[in-house]
Amino acid sequence: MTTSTGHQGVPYEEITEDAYSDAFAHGARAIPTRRGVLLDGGCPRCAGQMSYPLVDKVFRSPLPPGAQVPATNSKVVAILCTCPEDHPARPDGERGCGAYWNITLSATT
Amino acid sequence: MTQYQITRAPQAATAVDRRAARAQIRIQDGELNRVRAAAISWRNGLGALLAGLIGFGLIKGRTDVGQLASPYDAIVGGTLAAALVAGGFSAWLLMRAAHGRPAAVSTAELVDRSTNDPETRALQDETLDSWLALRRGVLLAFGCGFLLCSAVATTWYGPPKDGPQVEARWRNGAVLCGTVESDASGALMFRTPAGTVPLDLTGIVTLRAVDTCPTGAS
Ligand SMILES: [Zn+2]
Ligand SMILES: [Zn+2]
Repeated sequence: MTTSTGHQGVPYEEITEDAYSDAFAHGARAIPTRRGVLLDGGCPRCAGQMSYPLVDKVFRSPLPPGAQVPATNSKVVAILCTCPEDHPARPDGERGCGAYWNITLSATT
Repeated sequence: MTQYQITRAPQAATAVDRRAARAQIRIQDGELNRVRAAAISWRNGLGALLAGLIGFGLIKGRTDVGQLASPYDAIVGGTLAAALVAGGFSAWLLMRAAHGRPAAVSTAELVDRSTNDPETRALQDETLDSWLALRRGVLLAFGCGFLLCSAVATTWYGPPKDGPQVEARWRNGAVLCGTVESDASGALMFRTPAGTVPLDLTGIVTLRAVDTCPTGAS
């Protein structure tokens, strides 16, 4: 289950490792959008190319808001793999390969 | 637009972090559907409200703007026109929010190839546009309702138009314009802004009813 992009079709597992943060930060991009920031990069576990959308506000959600986009300076944000490829044993309603990690998002201008 | 930089986090993620990360994704799931559903509810509710207002405005009171004194007839006309414009834009915006733009959009505009997940970004944008359209549409609908109420209220309670006035011209060139009434003794009097004078019918060349006296004439 390896695609041409080097994706690893590892089984779904909710897992984190200390190296994930550094691995994602290396080569990832923060794309400003009208709603917040889109974090583009490769999943450190399955190598899937993914986008993690951070938004400031959502429209009438039944769930409490999670991580917020920092308005100023820097903030630690938790993200998870949203890789669109298949991962065996993934429960319904979950995304990606199950990997999750923290990053520091800092405003540069 | 603020630029952001991604660097390594000082602490390792925990199960709590994972839940937060998952919530951030989850709250965006189905967001567009929530906006659409809300817009349909608002559209139906506001449509019924405005229809009720119009119906109520026609039930009682003066229905003819032509019976109003100037400039209230023009004010009512302008207010109704503004209400129509506000209502039209409101309907458009609420429809836009409920069903999307009735136009084809180029995929190049929609699909941002610079990101890994163009679909998320396109959905986010459409959601935001629909959400803003919903908010503006609701505000405009209330504005339209307010204008309709003002127009109806002015039509009902505005001052009535004065009766027609009379303009008289005499052979010697004198012109008087005003209302004709009789005094206590029964003699015809000519009431003009300059004062009330006995109406001397001898020597009158023309006597005609006018809607309003020309300004300056007395
Ligand atoms: Zn992954
Ligand atoms: Zn993957």
